[in-house]
Amino acid sequence: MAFDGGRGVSTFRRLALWVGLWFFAVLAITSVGGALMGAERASGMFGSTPGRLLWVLFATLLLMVLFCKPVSRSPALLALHAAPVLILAGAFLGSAPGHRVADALLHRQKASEGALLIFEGRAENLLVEPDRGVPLGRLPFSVRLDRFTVERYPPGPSDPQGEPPVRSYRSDVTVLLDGRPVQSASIEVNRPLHFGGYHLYQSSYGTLPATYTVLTVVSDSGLSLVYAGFILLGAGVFWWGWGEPILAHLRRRRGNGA
Amino acid sequence: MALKASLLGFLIYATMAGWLGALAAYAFGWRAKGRALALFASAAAAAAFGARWVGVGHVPMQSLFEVFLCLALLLGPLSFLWRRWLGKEGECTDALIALAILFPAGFVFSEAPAQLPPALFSPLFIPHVAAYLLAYVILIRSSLAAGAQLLRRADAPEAEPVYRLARLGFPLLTLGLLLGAWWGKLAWGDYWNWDPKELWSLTTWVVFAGYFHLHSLEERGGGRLSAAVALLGGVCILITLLWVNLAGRTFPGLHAYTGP
Repeated sequence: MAFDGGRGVSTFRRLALWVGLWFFAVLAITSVGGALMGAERASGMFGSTPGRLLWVLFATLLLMVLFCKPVSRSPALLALHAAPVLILAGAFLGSAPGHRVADALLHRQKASEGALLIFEGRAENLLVEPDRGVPLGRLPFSVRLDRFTVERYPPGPSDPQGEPPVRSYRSDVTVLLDGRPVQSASIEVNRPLHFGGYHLYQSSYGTLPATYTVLTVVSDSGLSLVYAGFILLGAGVFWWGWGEPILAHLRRRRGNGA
Repeated sequence: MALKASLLGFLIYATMAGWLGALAAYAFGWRAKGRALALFASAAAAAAFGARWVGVGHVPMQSLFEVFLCLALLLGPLSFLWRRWLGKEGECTDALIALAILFPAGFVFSEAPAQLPPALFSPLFIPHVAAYLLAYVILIRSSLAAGAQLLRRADAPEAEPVYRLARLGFPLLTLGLLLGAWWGKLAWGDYWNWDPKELWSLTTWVVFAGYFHLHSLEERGGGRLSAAVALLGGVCILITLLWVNLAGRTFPGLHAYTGP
């Protein structure tokens, strides 16, 4: 029954592989469904109660597999199977339910996500719901928009009327803690600001009634776990896919040479 | 359908002619001549890619036209890398794949450059797209080898090209996914947005992960069921690659940066 190091497959291993395969099948089918229904409804489906149950089952299966041969014997396979658990745990900590749990346990108030709408020259700490502007709460710090800049492509023949496409836009901001400036930064697309447990992203802007910027504010809870999972997954998959075959090849060559 | 009357068009057609010649040479059993022609085609593909780079002033990996150009560039060196695994038949198939990639680039897609939107200015742009393209070429090759195995109605030969190619390409597929997630975090505020293209690429990843699990479950590996899954993975890649352009109007997503 025991795994013999060759192609012999023990009963538990066979079972775990089949359960894993069924999970893959469910994930593949639901994610095709999600691609057809659009991001918003897909997010709702994977975040629903059955969706969450599936993630918990998946993480449990992965944790069990970590203690079974041959996974437990191979550093690459260990990394590959542990990484998704880290990513799922980090994703939970970063989600709205994860924040509610952490708020209750740690006696704190931290929003998981929201938007800051700041007029040029003003400071703001009111976090709103991005689509409808419903207030969500106040940040422990304020952000002042010192200057907002839009850079456009030079006008070309392809856009005879109207303005040429936007090349970049940028918010120069100052973070205020208890009214005192503590940090100045430029926030651009691809270049968020990290402050006080939140990332602030350049998300949108407008000019009516006056120039304003919209920053998306996202809590960084769980993010380091997710990134640790990414690194582990990347390292594991290259070690398994490239490292192991190359080592085996070298060993064979040395064997033949001797 | 339109001919491209430009230096770029000429280089694309020269690449196609090279692969066509290589295909004919392989068919006649002239392997050395075939390889020389494949080498010529690879050089022409590199020249086409370089000409496009100079022409648009950024690494040409943005529109579908440029992506196909890049795929064609990668195929030559990769074909050289894996020809020991695939044998004589493999070289013929590689030439056919090259022609299939180059046909839309040469006759269908428009070469008009587009101006990059702000989100694409990132040092992660090139690694993300390059990892994916490399992975796609390798995994589609694996998928085609799986299709050939299914057609032969046989279990895999000793060398198991399907498995070896999939194992070579899967780390790159994972890398592309991870770099994309990291970039998404920087650009959009979240590493996962349930965007249709993300979900298609997740499907592809899951199908290949399933292939490896199935492969380790089969007694000797290389059975017909796992080959069918590898073939399915190739189909998923094609859908992922073309999704934004095929369904962009019906299901727009975050990855819809340019037209076809």
